[in-house]
Amino acid sequence: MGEKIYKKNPRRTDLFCERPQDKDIICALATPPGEGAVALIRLSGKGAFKVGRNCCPFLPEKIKSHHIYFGTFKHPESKEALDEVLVFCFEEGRSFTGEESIEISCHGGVYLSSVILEALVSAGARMAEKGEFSYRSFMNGKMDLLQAESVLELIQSRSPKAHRQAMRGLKGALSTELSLLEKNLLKLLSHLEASIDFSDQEIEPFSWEQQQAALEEIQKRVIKIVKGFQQGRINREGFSVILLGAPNAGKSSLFNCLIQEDKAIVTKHPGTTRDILSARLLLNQREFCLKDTAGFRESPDIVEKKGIEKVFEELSHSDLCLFLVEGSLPFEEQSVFGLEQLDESKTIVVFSKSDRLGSSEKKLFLEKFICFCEEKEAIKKFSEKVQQQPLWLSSRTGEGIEELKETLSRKSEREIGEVFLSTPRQRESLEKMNSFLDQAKILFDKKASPEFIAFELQSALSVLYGLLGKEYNEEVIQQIFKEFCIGK
Amino acid sequence: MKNFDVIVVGSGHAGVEAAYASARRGCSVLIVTVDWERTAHMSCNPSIGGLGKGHIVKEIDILGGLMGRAADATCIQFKLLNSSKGPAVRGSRAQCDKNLYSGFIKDYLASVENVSFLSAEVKALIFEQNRCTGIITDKEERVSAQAVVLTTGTFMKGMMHIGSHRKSGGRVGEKATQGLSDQLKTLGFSVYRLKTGTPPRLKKSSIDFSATLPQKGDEKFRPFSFFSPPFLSLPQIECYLTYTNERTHEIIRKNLKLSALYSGAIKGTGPRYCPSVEDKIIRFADKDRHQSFLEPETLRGPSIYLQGLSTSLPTEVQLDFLRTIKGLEQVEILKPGYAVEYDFLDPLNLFPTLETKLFENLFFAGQINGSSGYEEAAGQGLVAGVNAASKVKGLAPFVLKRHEAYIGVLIDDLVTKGTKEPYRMLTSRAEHRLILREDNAIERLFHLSSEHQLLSSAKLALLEKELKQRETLQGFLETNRVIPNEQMQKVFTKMSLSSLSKPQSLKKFFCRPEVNWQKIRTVVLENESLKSQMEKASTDLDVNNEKTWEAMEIRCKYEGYIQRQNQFIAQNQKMENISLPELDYDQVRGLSLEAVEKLKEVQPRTLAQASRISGMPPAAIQALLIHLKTKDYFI
Repeated sequence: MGEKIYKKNPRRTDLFCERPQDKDIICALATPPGEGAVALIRLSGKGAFKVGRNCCPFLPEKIKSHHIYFGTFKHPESKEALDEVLVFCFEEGRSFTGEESIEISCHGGVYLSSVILEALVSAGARMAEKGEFSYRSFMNGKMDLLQAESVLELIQSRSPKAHRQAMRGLKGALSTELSLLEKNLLKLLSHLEASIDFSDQEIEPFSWEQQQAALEEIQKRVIKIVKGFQQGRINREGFSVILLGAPNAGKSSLFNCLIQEDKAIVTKHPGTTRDILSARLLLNQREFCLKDTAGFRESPDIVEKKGIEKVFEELSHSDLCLFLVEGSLPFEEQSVFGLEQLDESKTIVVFSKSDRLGSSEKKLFLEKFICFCEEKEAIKKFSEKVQQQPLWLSSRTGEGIEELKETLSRKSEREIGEVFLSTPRQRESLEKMNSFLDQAKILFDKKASPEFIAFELQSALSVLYGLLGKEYNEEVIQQIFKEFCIGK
Repeated sequence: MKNFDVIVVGSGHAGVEAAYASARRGCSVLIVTVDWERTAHMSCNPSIGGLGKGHIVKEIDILGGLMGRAADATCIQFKLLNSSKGPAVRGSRAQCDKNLYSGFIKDYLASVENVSFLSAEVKALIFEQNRCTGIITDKEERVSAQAVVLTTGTFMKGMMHIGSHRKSGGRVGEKATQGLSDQLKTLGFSVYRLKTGTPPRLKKSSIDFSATLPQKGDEKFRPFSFFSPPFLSLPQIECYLTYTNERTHEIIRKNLKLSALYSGAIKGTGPRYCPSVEDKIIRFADKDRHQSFLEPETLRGPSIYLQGLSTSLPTEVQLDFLRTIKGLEQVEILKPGYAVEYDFLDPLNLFPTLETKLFENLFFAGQINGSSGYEEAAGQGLVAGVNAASKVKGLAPFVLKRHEAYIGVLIDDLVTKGTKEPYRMLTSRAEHRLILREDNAIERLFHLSSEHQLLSSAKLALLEKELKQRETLQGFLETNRVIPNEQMQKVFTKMSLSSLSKPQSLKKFFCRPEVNWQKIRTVVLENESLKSQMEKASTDLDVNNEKTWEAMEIRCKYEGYIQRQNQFIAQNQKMENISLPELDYDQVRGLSLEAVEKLKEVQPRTLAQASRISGMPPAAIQALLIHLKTKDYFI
C-alpha cells in the first residue's frame, strides 16, 4: 500500500450514505488469532486517540502522527496493568482507513488480545464487523476499485449462510438461551401490543403484575448471560478449584500431589498454611487453577482468622470447591467444620489419607459420616452424593488421584458448557439490551402507557435480532394472532 | 369515442377518493361503476376509524380527501378508543348511518365539476404497447383515458358462500365481474384468492334490548376532519352488548361441516384478526363465551349489525345459534352472514405510487391489492388518484414515507412485502408509532398537501394558521416562566396543584403529570403578566382552540420519546434518500441469487425499501451500496 493509495480519492462519504454505525470507533485484532510473539490491534474512527489515551495514559496530549509510543496498557476502569505495548498513531487522512487511527502492538496470545479488546470496548470503542476496516477505507477514498471488489468478497462471506454457519458454530447453549430470550420477549411484546391494537376486543392480555414478572424473568436471563461472559474467563484463566477442609486434613499434600511439585509446606502441625497458594495444572488440555488454603477451624489466632476470611473471599471467585474430610477414626465433628457454608452444586466432598484405613474401617467411617450429615439440616444435602460414590484419596499412595482428575475435568467441561458469550461484541449487545430493559422496567413501575414500554422492548428485541442475525419482520403480529381471539 | 384524463373503475371507498383526488388536481374524471347507488357503501361494519384506522382517516383529511368529513357529518356514535393510553395509540371511531354516509359522498362527488359517471361493468382494459389507455364495458362501449385506476374491491370473480350455497357476486345482491381478472392474468399479473366474511344483519324489532347491556358513545365529539364543525349534526344512538354461550357453541360445533369455511369449499386465506365465529370456537375452545355488539346500521332503519359473529353457516343454522343468545331469543335475520372469496392482485406488482410495474398509467387501489377495511382502501385510493393525475399532468410522483403517515406504512408494506391475508392496519405495524399520531397529522402532512396542491388555498391557509399558532404557543411556553408569588399560589390552590418552590418555565411546568392543558391555560389567563406576554407573542392566538392546546400538551409531555423516535428516523433517512436506478441486478457483485430474485420482483425505489424486503440480508444492501458507488450513480 503506502502513500500512493493514501492520497487518492476524495472522501466518498460526502457523496452519499454514511450509515450511523460508520461514526463509531471500531476495534479488532489485525493479526490472525492464536499464539504468536506479538499481536496487532487496530482502532479507527474519529476520537480513536481519546479512546487510546483512556487505556494508554502514557500517550501525550498532543499526539504526533506516524509516531510510535511505548508504555503500559491499563484497563480504563480498573486501572489494572494489562501489558506493555507499542502504540502507532495515525491522524485523520493519513491512515489505512482514512480516519484517525491507532494500532496497538501487544504480546501475543488469544487471552491477552481479547483482554485488550475488552478494555478498548469499555473505553468507548466497539468491535468491528467483518470487513469494516476495508469498507471504511474504501468509503474514505483510500482504496481503488480493484481493492473495493475484494471488500465485496469479504462482505459476501457475510451471507446468511455464512452467518448461519457461524451461529451453528456457537455453543449450542448460547443459541438456545438467546432463542428462549427472544421467545419470552416476543410473548411479552405481543401482550402489550394486543392491549393496544385490540383494546376494543374481549381479550385477556397479561395483567400488569404478569407483565412485570415476565420482564423481570427476561432481565434475569440477560444478566445471567452477561455473567456467563465473566465465566468465559475460565477458558482463558483456567478452571479454578479451591481446596477446603479442616486444618491438617491433607489439603497441601493433595495440592503438591496434583501439581507434582513441593510448593506447599507440609507439616504435621495443623494450621501450617495461612496464605492462599495457587498453581496451574493442565488436565485433558484444559487449564486449571488450583488453590490451597488455610484450614477451617474456630481459632483465637488473629492471623489465622484473617486467613480464613480470605479463604471465603477466594471461594466466591472459584468455580469448584474440593472439601477434604480426613478419613480417620473415630469420626470427629470438627473435620466437617465449615461444610454447611458451602454451595452443594459447586462442592465435591472427598476423603483424604485413605491409606490409613482398611476397607471395613472405611465403611464404618462413611456410615458415621453419613449419619452425621443426615442429622444436620445444613449439610444433609452432601450425604447423598457421598453415598452414591465416595471418593477416597491418598496423596501418599496415589489412590483415587486419577479418579479425582477425571472428576475435575468432567466437572469443568460441564461448567464451560454454560459459557455463553464468546466475544466482547456479544457482551456489548447484551448489555445494551439490558439498558433498554432497565428503561422498560422504570416505565412499568410508573405504570406508563404500553406503547412506551413496547418502544423500549422493541429496541431490546432489535439488538437481540442483530445478535441472532435475524430480521424483525412481523414476529410480534404473528404472536398476537396466535395468542388472542380477535375478530369482528 | 369519449375521452377523459382519468377513469376510475369502481366507486367504493378507494374509488371515490381516487376520483376526487384526480379531480382536485384538475383532471377530468369518469367513474365507471356497476351500481352507482352503492357508492361508498359500508359493506361490513357500520363505522369509520378505530385503532390505526382513525389515524388514516385524519391523514386523508389533511391530504384533501372526503372520508373524514363524511364520517363527521353522518356520525351516530363517537368513541375515542384507548383514551386512557398515550396519545400515539388513541384512535377515533365514528359509527355512521351507512345510508347517509353513502349519500353524503354521492352528493359531494356529484357537485364536483369535472367528475362524470357511467353505470356499466368494465369487461376489459385497452392497452397501447405498455400503456393503459382506456376501458371496454360489457356493452362494448369504449372510453379512452390517459390513466386508469382499478378499485374493484371484492368483485373480481367474487364468490359468496352461505353454508353449501354458493353464488357468484361481490356483495349480496350485486353480481361479480368476470372478464377483468382473466385479462389481467393473461397480461402477466399475479392473481391470487382471498376470503373475508361478514356477520348476519338482524331485524331491530325482533330483538329484546332489555336483556343486553347498552353501550353509549363518548360525551365529547372529536371530529376527524379539521374542516368539520366541532358539533354533531345527528342524534346519537346506543349499541348493545351481548354474549354467546355454551349452547350457541354447541350448535355451531354440531353443524361445523356445513360451514363453507370448514367444508373445504373456500380455498382463499382469511384474515386472522377477523375470524368467523366458527374459527373462534374451534381455535379458542376454552372460552365459554364470546362478546358481540349489536350496532344499528342506520339512525332509524331496521337493520342491526352483529359485530363479532361473522359466519358462513347455512341460514337456518345461523338462526338456530342466534336464538340461544340473550336478547336474541325471537330474532329474525334480515340478511344472513356470508363469506366471500375474491381475486386480488399481488401488490408486489405495484410501485409505491400504486402504478403497475407491467403497464404504465394503470393504477390499482383498495381491496384489489389485498388490503381490508374502508380506511385502508380510501388511503390507497387517494394516493392512486393523486399519482394518476401526476402522470397525466407530468407532475412529481406522490409517495408517503413510513415516518410521515400510516398510509405510507400501508402502501410500503403492501408493495415491498406483499400480503398473504387481507391486510389491516395495526399501530404495531408502524415502527415510528410514537410520532404517527392523530393530533399531529397536520404537522406531518401539511407540506405535502401544499406541495401537491391537494387542498384549496383557503383550506391550506386554515391549516397554516393552526400550525403557526402551535409554534407561537410552544415558543411562548418555552420562554415564559411561572413565578410562585402569592397570587399564583392562590391559583394553584384553586386547582389543587402542589406549589412551586422556585420559578419554572411554563413548558417544564406543563410536564408535571398532574398538569393538563386546561390547568396551564388557567395559570396563564389568571396571571396578568403572562396573559399580556401571550397577547404580545401573537395577536391572533386563539386561547380557546382546544386542538392547539392538546397538541401542545402532547408535544411537551412526550418530548423525550418524540426526540428519540426522530433520531431513529434521521438515522434511517440517508438510506431512504438513496434512490435506486434501474439496475441489472445480475451484474451486481456480492448479491446472492435469492437476493437478486427478490430485488427483481420488488424493484425497490430506494435503498431503504430494498432493506425492508422480507429476507433481504444486510450484506446485500452493502453490496448494492458499493455497486452504486463504483458505477458512479451518485452525483
